[in-house]
Amino acid sequence: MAIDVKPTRSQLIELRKKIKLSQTGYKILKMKRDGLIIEFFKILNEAKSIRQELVAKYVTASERVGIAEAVKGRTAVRSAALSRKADPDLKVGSQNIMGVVVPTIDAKSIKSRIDKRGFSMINPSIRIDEACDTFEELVETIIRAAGIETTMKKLLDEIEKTKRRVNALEFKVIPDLQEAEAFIRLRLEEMERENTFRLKRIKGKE
Amino acid sequence: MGKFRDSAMGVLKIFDAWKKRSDAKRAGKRPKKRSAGASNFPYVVARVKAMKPSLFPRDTLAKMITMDLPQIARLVGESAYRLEIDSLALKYRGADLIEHALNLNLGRTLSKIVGWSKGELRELLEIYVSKYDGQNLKTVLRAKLYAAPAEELEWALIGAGHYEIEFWMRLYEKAGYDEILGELDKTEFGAPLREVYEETGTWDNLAPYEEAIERLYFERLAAGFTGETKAKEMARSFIGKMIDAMNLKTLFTLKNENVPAEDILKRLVIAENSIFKTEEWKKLSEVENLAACGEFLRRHSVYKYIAEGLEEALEKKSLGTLGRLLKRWARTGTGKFSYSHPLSIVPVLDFILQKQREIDNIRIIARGRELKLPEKTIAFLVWPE
Repeated sequence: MAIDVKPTRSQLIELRKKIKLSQTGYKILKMKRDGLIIEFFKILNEAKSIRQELVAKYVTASERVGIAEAVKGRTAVRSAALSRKADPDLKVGSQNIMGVVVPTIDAKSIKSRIDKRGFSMINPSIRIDEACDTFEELVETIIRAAGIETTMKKLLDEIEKTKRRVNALEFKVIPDLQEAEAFIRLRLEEMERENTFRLKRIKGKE
Repeated sequence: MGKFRDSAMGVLKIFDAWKKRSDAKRAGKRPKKRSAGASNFPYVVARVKAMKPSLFPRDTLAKMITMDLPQIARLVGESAYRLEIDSLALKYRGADLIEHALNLNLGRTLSKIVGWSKGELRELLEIYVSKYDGQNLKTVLRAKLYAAPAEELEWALIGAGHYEIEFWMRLYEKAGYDEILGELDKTEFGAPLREVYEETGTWDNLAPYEEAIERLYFERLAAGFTGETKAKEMARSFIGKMIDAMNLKTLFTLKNENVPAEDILKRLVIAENSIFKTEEWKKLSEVENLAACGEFLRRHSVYKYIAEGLEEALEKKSLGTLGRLLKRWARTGTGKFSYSHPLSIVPVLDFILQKQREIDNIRIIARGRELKLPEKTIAFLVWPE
């Protein structure tokens, strides 16, 4: 690397300050990276279990809607599906995990009381109601899974970013600064030797 | 012997009616008729009995469970449903084709039977098949709320009942609910729906409207089947059981979800010949939970029919089997419909019930095969004989 620094004492002091700062930053970022990895693994387990739950609920919901379609007819199921116009009411917030802002989604309001679903409760269809129940649970799980998977994705991005910074500090910034410091130090020592030699030569001429 | 006696009595009745008519003609008078016109039981019963052999035998349905979807479609297409399968084959495929063909055939069959009938018989049959009108009206109201495309609505309508699909489509094309209500004022649905609108003042929640439609159907059904003859008593008993089964289903569903008693009671349609008196229904709706419902019902005859379903409901919180057993209970006694009282509404009702059961079963099998449900599950869902 071509060193483009002025070999002055003030520059040396400046560089030493920078090296110290970089080393402190390096240590902190390394700790952050390790912390994020621990958090990531915690969420990974949660994400894995919610994925399994999601798949299981999807299978149950598909089977139940299939049975409802078989017993009541697809026409009746489609008709019942038209009666739900309201979009799910979600509460979206945020939380901070080691400086990473991740979403928190409250999806508890998806499940509605059976008589508040918007269709008649006189002569209800048990099969359609059961399909409705499982789909409500499925939607709740999908929303929870979406929250957890977004958190996981954000943590992964942040881990990647922190890792790049740690590597840059470890393998590029700190070595460059140390090299520059060594160069200045050597240059200053050489200048000092030149001065001493020059003084001796002047003294010898007198 | 009893069967022979009933037939002989029927022939005598026809002869009697013919003699009265010819006597009246000779005297220059119009024969005396009921206000709604005399019913033509012998003609309709004969037509309906002629249609009966076209129903699938039990064995064929059992075989159908093991068939693939194309095989089922071919079998259905080679039977009484050929016309419907052929006319819809370009528009739909697979189980959708079968379901639409079945619905269309049901609509056509019911219209034919109603068309053949006269007088009181026609009135009663019109009330019975008006459940499809209610179902279609609910679909139209839902589609309007959801602003569903017309094709989706057309898909979900059933061509059975008093009104044609074109009527429901025209209703859907109205600009808003007020215009729809204006159009419905010309029908039996106008008054109850207007009442709900005046009470709620909104169309955002369709549940009260749908409940008014359902209530209208069951109340008309309960009020329609009156009279002193044994055949009418039989039909009334069946209708009463059907309404009771519907009430019990409503009650169990709402109790399973811990809905308050007053909200349950207002959703029950209590017919005159119900197995419970109004007070008993009130008590039943006030019991603590589903288990207490079971305890309450233990001393009633219905319990032995539904005990297994109640146990499953308590164990798994699933009411599927209970609903199925209630349906089976409602049909107990209908086995006699085909041979007792041959000149009454009963054999006509018997054919309609058998047709509905056949259609339900074919749809269950076709959908089950389409969704690759295990044969055991399909066999379980198919209507018990």
